[in-house]
Parts: sequence; C-alpha cells; structure tokens
Amino acid sequence: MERKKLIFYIISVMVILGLLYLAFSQERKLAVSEETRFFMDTAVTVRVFAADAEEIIDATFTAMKEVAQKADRFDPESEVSKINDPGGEAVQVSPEIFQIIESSLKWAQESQGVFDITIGSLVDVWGFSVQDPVVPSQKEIAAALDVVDYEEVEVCPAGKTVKVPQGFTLDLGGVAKGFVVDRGMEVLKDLGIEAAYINAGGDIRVLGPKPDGSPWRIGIRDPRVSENSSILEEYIVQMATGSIVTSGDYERYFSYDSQRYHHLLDPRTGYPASVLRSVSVVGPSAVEADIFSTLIFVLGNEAGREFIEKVPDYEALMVTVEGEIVVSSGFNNYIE
Amino acid sequence: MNLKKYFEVLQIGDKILLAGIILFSLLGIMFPYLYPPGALSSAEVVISVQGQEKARMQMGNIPAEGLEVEVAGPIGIHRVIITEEGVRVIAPEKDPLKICEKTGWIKRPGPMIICVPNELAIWLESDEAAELDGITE
Repeated sequence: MERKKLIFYIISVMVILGLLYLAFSQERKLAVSEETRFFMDTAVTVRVFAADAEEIIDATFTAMKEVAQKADRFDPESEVSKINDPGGEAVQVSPEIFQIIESSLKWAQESQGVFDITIGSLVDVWGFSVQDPVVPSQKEIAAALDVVDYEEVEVCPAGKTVKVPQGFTLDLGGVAKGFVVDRGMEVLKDLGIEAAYINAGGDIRVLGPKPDGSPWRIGIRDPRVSENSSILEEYIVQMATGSIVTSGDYERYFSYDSQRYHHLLDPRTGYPASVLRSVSVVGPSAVEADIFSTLIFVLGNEAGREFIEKVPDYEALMVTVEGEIVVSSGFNNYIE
Repeated sequence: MNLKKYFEVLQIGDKILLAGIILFSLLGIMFPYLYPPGALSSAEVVISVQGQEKARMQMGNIPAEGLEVEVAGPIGIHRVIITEEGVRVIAPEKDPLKICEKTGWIKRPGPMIICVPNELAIWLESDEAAELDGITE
C-alpha cells in the first residue's frame, strides 16, 4: 500500500510540474496574424498579435493602398500625376498627399535641396526600371536638373492645393513608403491593436512591445556582403515601438562599362551619391526616417552625421563605400 | 522516512518506469534547446505567389544535393534554389532589376526574397520564436 501511494505521489508531482511547464510555454506562444501583399513596387507585410485578425489586416491594407495609389506618379489617375500634368495648374489634393508634400518640402528646405521631391525628371533620364538602362549624357542630366527645384513648388495649406511649373515632375518615391507604413500603423491603433509590425520593402514600423513584454528585434542588411542577405550582427536594433528605414545602393542599380550606378541620386549633381553604401535611420515615424535615410545617403557620413545629430529622437547608422560603420551619438541606445 | 527508505519501498520495475518517465520528460524539455530557434533543419521554406502559398517544405527534408523549384510568371521563370544551407532565387533574363537575385541566400527566418514582377515571395519560417522579427534593407 505504501509503495502504491509513493508511486502515485511521484507521478502526481510530475504531472503537475509538466502541466505548469506547458502552461508557461503556451503563454509565450501568442496568436499572430500576418499577411504579405504586393504594391508600391515591393512586398508589404502586416503582422499583428491577435487571433483571427483577417478583417483588421484587410482594412489596414486598404488604407495603405489608397494612399500609395494617390502618391504613385506612374498611375495616370493618381493625385501626383494630376499635379505633374503639363498644364501647370494648381491641383487640390487629399490631406494625406498634402501632408507628404508639405513634410517633404520642409526637409528639402532644411537640407537646402539635398532631399528634393521635384527629382522626377532626373530619375526618368536614368531609367533604372527599364530593361537595358544606359548612363545618360551630361547634356541630358543638365536638362533634367533644370526642372529640379523644390522652391518652385507652390502649396496652399488653406485650399490644400499644390502647383508645380510646367516640365517639373514630383516624385514621392523617397517618402511615400514611409508615409504609407505610418498610415497603416494609425489604422491598426484605431482598431485597438497594441502590438504590430509593418514592413514595406525594408521601411519598418513596430508597435509594442510584444505581448510577452519583449522588444522587437530588427536586423540591418550588411551592404558589404553581396550575394547573401547577411545582417550587421553587432547592430541588431531593439525597440518597443518606432520605425527603422534603410536606404542602400545594393538593390536598384545597373552596371554600365564596368561601373555601378544606383538609384539614390544627388539632386545637386544629377549623379548617384557616392560616399555611402547604406544608411539606416531609427526614430518615431517611418515617413521622417524614410526622408532622413535618403537625405543622409546623399549627404555622406560626415555631413549626414552632423545633420542627424541636430534632429531630436532620430539616430542613424551609416556604412561607407570603404565598409566603415559610422553611427550617430545615440544609435547604440537601440543596440542590445 | 528518509529518501533511502523511499527507494527501498520501490521495486526494480517501479524504478525503471520512473527513470523512463523522467528521461522522456527531460528530453521533451530539452528539445527546444537542442534545436534552438533559427536552427535551419527545424525551419520550413515557404514559396508564395500572388499572396497564395504554393509550396512549403521542411528544411530538414531537403536532399543533400539540393532542390530546384521553377515558378512561372508574367516576366518568365524564377528558379528557386533550396539547399540544406538556405534558399535563393535566380531571376529570369527579362527581370530588369533582378532585385530578388541580388538578395542572395537567406539562411534564417526573418528576411524575405521578393520578386515584384512575378509577385513571388520566399521566406524561412519556424514554429519557434524567430531570432529576428524583421530585416531592414
């Protein structure tokens, strides 16, 4: 009898311990809903910590796509296409597009044109998306630069109108993805989501922390390693909430006469910026991180670092063409 | 009754049974540590086209010589190369930027290979918590 009791007690204790272990393990496995869709010439992933969140994710994508469509200058029906229409008339736009343009012009002014949304004509002469791109002639570049000047954009906050002179082409490519990501996160918050992740082709915004209290962990692509999606292992960013956006020269480029030409153009020279390989910016909003990553890429590491040090709440990591890693003074606060 | 007395009460069969249960439980608890998150053999490679999952394979079942999957789309055939080490894509000639090919090998859950013209997405997925939530590039 004593033997049977003892075995019973031992097995009971083991079963209780096993159940406790399982309960704690399950607590860590949280319901996650995720979906990836293609628009803005990239893949956009929305991940939320909630079970059966298909409708929430769908509403988020709808809102994001709506803004993306309005900002797409290659869509003849978009608001930006209407602004670019050769008529040179003032066009009334939605509050979202007005906000993107206003914000872009603010940073164009701050950077004295290093970031410039009137860069469309210059992007077109380089033709990065065509089958066999070639390097444009200096004459073509000079002609394109004649119609690049953010100071020529007229905005009227009262009527939400935007006007560009004839021949000018607005291109929101350096800012729209970030804005769309921010818009998506707004929708998720409005719908009561407390932990979420949106990634639009590397423009990432997170809301959190994750339900288990842990921060989000984001890797930064190492631009020095080609043919392998390696990350900068020493610089894994941890944040409870916020954005991280990277601009790099390793995806959209073509080779011509053994020379590599990438898509991050310097509006002052008309040629691809040549000091950095990539810039990652961390901060509260994706739209500003998007603008700053492009802007710093063009400025280079020295001027770029000087710039970001003056902007509160934003930090940057830069990788130079020589492979050196330069970080702003507060970037290491994000590193584990 | 001290611990020795407890053991004296148990017969040899009881001891073997209890030892077996303890060993089995410990193996179960140790499993995630023996095959930690990010261990490639426990991950699955997922191939998605136009938002629809087209294939899902356990990395541990990929043959030593590797595997090639062809995915056809509007601009031609993307070749997905899967080995025990990871997965990569060879883009068709018509793909102007070949961004997915430039992504190179992915060897852990987190990054994603994206071929925009054919709406092809490839990633590694694991039941365990991923080492990274995402990669900015």
